[in-house]
Formats: sequence, C-alpha cells, structure tokens
Amino acid sequence: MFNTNFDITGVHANYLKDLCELRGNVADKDQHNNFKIFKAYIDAYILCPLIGYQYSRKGKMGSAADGDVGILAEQIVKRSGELKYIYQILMLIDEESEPDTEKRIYRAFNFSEKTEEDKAMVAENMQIFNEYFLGGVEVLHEQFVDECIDRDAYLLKMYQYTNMFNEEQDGEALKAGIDKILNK
Amino acid sequence: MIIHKLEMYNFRQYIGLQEVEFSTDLDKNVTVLIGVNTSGKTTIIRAFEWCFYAKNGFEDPVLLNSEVRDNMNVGDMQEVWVAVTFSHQDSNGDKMYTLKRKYTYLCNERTRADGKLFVGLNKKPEEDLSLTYLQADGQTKTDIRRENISESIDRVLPQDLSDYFFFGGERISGIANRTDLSNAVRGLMRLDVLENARDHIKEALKKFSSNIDTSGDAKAQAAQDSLGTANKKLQQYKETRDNAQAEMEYYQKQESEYNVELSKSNVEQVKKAKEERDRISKALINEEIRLENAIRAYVDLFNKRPYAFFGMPSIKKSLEVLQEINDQVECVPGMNQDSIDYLINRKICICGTHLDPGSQPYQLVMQERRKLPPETIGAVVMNYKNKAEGYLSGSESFFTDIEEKYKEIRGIQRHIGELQDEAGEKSKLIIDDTDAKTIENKRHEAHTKYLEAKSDYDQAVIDIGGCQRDIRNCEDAIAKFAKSSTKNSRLVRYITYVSMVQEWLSDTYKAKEDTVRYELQRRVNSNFAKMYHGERSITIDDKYRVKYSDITTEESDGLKAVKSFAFIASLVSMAKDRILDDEEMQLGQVYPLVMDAPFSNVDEIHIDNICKILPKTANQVIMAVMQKDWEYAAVNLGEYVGKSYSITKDKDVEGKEIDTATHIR
Repeated sequence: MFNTNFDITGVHANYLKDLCELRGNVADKDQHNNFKIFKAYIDAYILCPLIGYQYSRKGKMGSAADGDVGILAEQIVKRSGELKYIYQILMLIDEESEPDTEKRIYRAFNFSEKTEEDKAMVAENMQIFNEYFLGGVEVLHEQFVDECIDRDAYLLKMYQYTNMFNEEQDGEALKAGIDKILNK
Repeated sequence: MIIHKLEMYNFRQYIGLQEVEFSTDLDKNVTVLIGVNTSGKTTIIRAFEWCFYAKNGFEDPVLLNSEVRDNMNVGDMQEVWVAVTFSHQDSNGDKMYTLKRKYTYLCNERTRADGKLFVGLNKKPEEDLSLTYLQADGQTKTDIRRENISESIDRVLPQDLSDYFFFGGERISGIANRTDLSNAVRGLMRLDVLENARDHIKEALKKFSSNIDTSGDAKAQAAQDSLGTANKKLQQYKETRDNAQAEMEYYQKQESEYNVELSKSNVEQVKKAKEERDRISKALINEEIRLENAIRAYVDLFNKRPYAFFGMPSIKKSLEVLQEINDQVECVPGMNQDSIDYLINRKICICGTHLDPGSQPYQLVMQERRKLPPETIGAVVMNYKNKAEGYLSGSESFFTDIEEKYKEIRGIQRHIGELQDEAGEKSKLIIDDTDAKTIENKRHEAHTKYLEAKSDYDQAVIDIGGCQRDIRNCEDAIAKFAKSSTKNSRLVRYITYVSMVQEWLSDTYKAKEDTVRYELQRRVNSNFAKMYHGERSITIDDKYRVKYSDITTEESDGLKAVKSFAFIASLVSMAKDRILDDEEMQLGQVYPLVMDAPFSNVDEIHIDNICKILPKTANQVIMAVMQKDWEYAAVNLGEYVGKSYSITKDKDVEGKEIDTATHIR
C-alpha cells in the first residue's frame, strides 16, 4: 500500500495539472500555465481525499487519451505515513461504503495483504480512497481554476477558501473538540 | 611566442630590405620604433598580420613599393616579402621558426597618359609561403610542409587572438567593450585545449550511448526515442535563450543610453525627477522580489499539512468512532490474527471441527479473525491518537498564518501600486520637457521590450532545466537497462571509462576557469587602479566583459583605452605567469605585445601609469610610437628599452622627404 507508482488518467489528470506546480518536462505545460495552489501532485493526493469526503464527492478515472499524470513511487513512499493516516481516517468514517462500525475499524487498521481476502479488501478500500481523491480534485478545480483568472485572484481565493472553511465549520470549536478527545 | 626579427623587402613604403631585431632580453624587454605621423608605423603591424595570416588591410592592395613598381617594364618581375623569426615553446621544447610570405609581381602594362605614368601589375601575384625551423644543432633548417603551415601558425598564435597582440591605438579602446570575450580569454589561457577535449569526449560518450542496443526492451527503446527528441528540443530552447539574452542586453543597453541622455538634460526639474524615478525603480525591484518571496511563502503555508486543517471535521469524526467503539469490541483475550491463521493452515479447529475454506465453521473463524487486529484494539486506538496528535501539531495556526501572510502580500501589492503611481508622476515631470519627452518615450519602449525579452529568457531557462532533467532521466533509464543486459557489457565498460574521463575534464576545466575569472578580476582591478587616477571598481561578468560597478556614467575614449590596457595587460600577465599550470598540465604560453601608436587616445598622466605596468606584464613589448608621445613614455619606459629604432624617410635634392623610400634605422 502506497508503495508503487500511481497513474491518474482522464480529465482529472488535466485538473491536477491545473492545480499543481509542474516540472519542466510536462509536455503540455503551456496549457496549464495558471497559478498553482499545490507545490506537487503528491500534495494534492494527500489533501484531496478528505476534501472529496467533505463534499460527498467521488470521481471516476477516465481514459488515458483524455489525460495522463503519474506520481512516482518514490514520492509516494516518502509521504506514505501521511497517506496511510488519511486512508485510516476515511476508512473509519465512510459509512456509505461500510455501515458496520466494527468492520470499518477492522479495515482501517488492517494493512496486511497476506491473504487473498485481505488483498481484495485493501484493493477495494484503495478504490474508495482514490474515488474521494478524484472528487476532491473536482471540488478544488471548481473552486479555484474555474473561478480565478489571474494570480491575484488565486491568492485571494486561497485566503477566502480557508476563511470560509474556518467560519462555516467553526474551526475553533472543532479544534477544541479534537483536543478534548486527545486528552489535551 | 617571442619575436626575434622582422624582415621586410620592398614592402609598401619601405624600400629595399629592412631588418628589425627585437629585444629578447628579459629585463630590457621593450623595443621601440619612433617615427613621425604617417611615417609608416601602422605598416609594421600590417606586415606582421600579412605575414602570419595573409591579411591585407591596405586600401590599395598592391604591396610592392611604388618606387620599385614605377621602374618596372612590361615582363619585369619584382618580389615583395616579409619574414618573421620567432621562438615558440611546445611539448618538444623551444624552437626557432622563420615564417616568410612572398608575392612575386609581374608587370603587364606600362603607359604614360597626360604626363602620368601607369604601371600595371598582375592582379594575383604568385604567392610563396614557407615556415622553417632550426634543428637542435642550431644549423639544420627543416621545412614544414606547405599545407600544414596555417595550422601550425594557428597553434602558435590563433588569428582570432591576434587582435590582442597586434593592435593600433585606434583599435584598443574597443577591445574591453566587445560583446563576448570568452573565446579570446579561453584561447589565451589555453583553456580551449581542455574545452576541446571535453567536447570531444562528450561526443564520444553520446556515440557510445546511442550505440546501446535497446531492442527487446520497450522501456529502454522509448527512453532512447525520447532522448533524441529531448536533445533536439534542448538545442531549440538554448537558441531561444541566447536570442532572448541578446535582446535583453540590447534593450538594457539602449535604456541605459537613454538614461544617460536624460541625465544630460539641463532642466533642473527633469534631472531631479529622473533621479527620483531611478530611486523608485530600485525600490520597485526590491518590492517585487519581496512580493515573489511572500507569495512563495504563502503557497508553502498552504501546502504545509493542509489536511490537518481542512480535515478537522473528518478527523474529529474518526476519533469519535474510535472513542465509541473502544470498549465495545468483544474478542478472545490474548488471541491474535496469527493464531487464527495457524488454525486455518492446520485446517482443524481446537474443538476438532474441520476448517475447509468456504464451509460455515471456516467463515465463523474468519469473522472472529476480522475482529482481531495484530494489536489489541486499545493499543491500536492509542496509537492512532498519538499519530493524530503528531500530524495535527503545528497546524493550530494554519488559518491565522494564511491570513497574516495574505495581508502581507496585499500590503506589498499596495506599496508597489503606490510606487508605480509615483514613478508615473515623475515620468510626467520628465515628459514636460519636450526634448526629454521623446527620449523618455524611447526609454520606456526599450524598458518594455527588455521586460518582454526577459520573460522569454526566463521561460527558456525553465524549459532548458526541464529538458535537461528529461535527458538525465532517459539516460539513466538506458544506462540501467544497458547494465542489466549482457549484449551491451562492452559498451557499458567504455561508457564508464569515458564518463570518468569526462568528469575529470569537466571538473578540471571548471576549476581552472574559476581561477581565470578570479585572477582576471583581481588583476584588472589592480592594474586599473594603478593606471587610472579616479576610483573605479571593475567586475568581470560571465562573458569576461569588463564592467564598472557604477555603470551609468559615460566613458571617454581615453577611459576605454585605459580599461582595455588594464584588461590586456592582465590577460597577458596571467599567460606569462602560467597561473593554470600544474604538474599534469602545462597550458601557459608567452605572448608578445605589438602596438601601434598605443597612446594616441590617452592623456599624459595615463601614459605615465600605463608605461609603468606594461613591461612587467608581457614578456616582450614592441611599440611603434610618435616622437611626441615617446617623450612622455620614455620617462618610465626608458629603463626597459632593449632596442630602439627610428623610422625615417629619404630626402630628395631639395630636402623634401620621399614618402616611398622609408627606412628603419
């Protein structure tokens, strides 16, 4: 888990190119020369699943003919700690894919891929994770790329988006709630 | 190379055979040829150039002395030749060479019309060129084959560099202002030897790499294909970059020229406004850099564990799930997944029931297994909480950090807007003056063009970086494949050797180039300080151009000449001091400095100063000077003069000088 290359195909690949800073060797870089809110694909891969969940949005991968982006195993392994943590959060809370709490806990904490059954389960979970990821990419693309025309607009939007979240979700109260559970 | 002797026979105004022996004394290394104006000083430099490179710089291309020519009858033949004897050190030691270039003219017409004589010569005189050197016995002369002569000369003193050693006063001021001195510097320091070796080995490496047989491996094949494309692209990007850079330099130069013009404006108000605008421009540049940094920091903040902020609702929910379940999960104490796996493997339960896959007992046991994490649930939950705490720490201030940074960015943007308005106001003041108005408009246009070129340049640099990364990736992929395939093992060995040699050459080249740049800057500054009375700090840029740290003032020709002297003196002294030589490599060479009227643009104080330095920097100094300049120069140069000649003309019966009968005595 989180130790191999990850390829994203379809329209979401182009969304990612709009959202993330691109290396010099990306062929169609010129078509994605807007301001970037993520420093790399991997940063989007870590944040977007939770955004997707937050907005109850899932996405499906399309054909490579419409777009193709790859995240190298090396990048993924480097951030696999954080990825696994996000994965666990999602597995614990996504009641839509598994209403049974016990089973959700089991899937969140079982990383072993020893038996065929385990392997199948992890594959299914990864599917869920990636669907939310693509959903999150859609959301951020709508929020940022569709809305912003120039750099200043992006800068403003980054602030507004953070601010809106903070107000709508009552960041202070959330923080306090989490701290309480963590016995702080 | 040290020049020992120059012989000229019927060359231009010099009639008959002229022999000049130059001083080769180490202490008295200066030879002077003193003459009046139009006496033929420049012809001496031209004689060298013609002899070495067949360069004929005269308006009338006939080299034969006119008096000799006038005495020719149809069918007569006359020779003109120049021979230079010089010593040169190469890997086989020091040898004495004589290079002789000869033209033989044939008279094909002799007419007299309206009392004027006309003597026609063949358009293409027969040319003869010989280069001989003395064997170690000091007696035997050996000829170098005709077809190899120009190559040999190029090794001794390449024509590209000859400008730096044979030059006239009118040419010197331009030298240090040339656009690209890299080739000259590399050539003089013999860095080109290393550079050529490096380029050659690079080609060899490319050839070896392209010979790797990638058939049968799709990935390697693809890498090889994209390598070709990437290399082509790289070439294009480099061209774009160089063009953009040339444009940038052009417009920047234009802008600073307009700036100089503007500062000459007499209207006090304009002057002041320009100063103010310059100050604002500087402030603007700083603010723009600040803005870029702030934006980068802003994006960095946004990328610093944003999930810990935007994921708060999910995280809270996940913690609640665990909290709730903590003591609800009933399972066999002490049992773990491994125990069940053992039973499944054994296929018989503790109670004796068979556990065949798919059967009901099997499913029940597996259900039990699902509840048993490798660790107990309590420990798992604890672990998870700890992890959460770790990932969440430091993210408490995510929102306030973003907010503050955004405010900072807005602040800088506002300030930039204010500065731009201010600059606009000042520009308007400048524009009130009608003369200045046109210049100001042109300046503005140049500035805009410069910004456009700069953006092209920046993009090309980014593209080049990407391309180079691409190339590295492809090369890595091919190399990785080659290593693992047996059919390429020989090539891989070659590549390994070549790569190591290449690395060594590159490192050596770089280290030596750094030394050259550092030394050159040091020496030019030190020489300039000794030659020029004012205080000026000089830097050497990446193309070895000489620049003042304060660039806005205008340069007089005299100042340019002093700068060029400082530059050449430094370069020659570096070659002389063999600063790059080490045990493994002897790159240093000695060069003569041959100058015609070097002081014609320079005032007396500077002549004084330059003369103090020149004899010490070069191994040999040969100069043709005007009598009046020599009077100043002799004060400091006198003690270094090993040989001295005067250029004189024959006089006719009435005591008038005959231009076509000049001698060196």
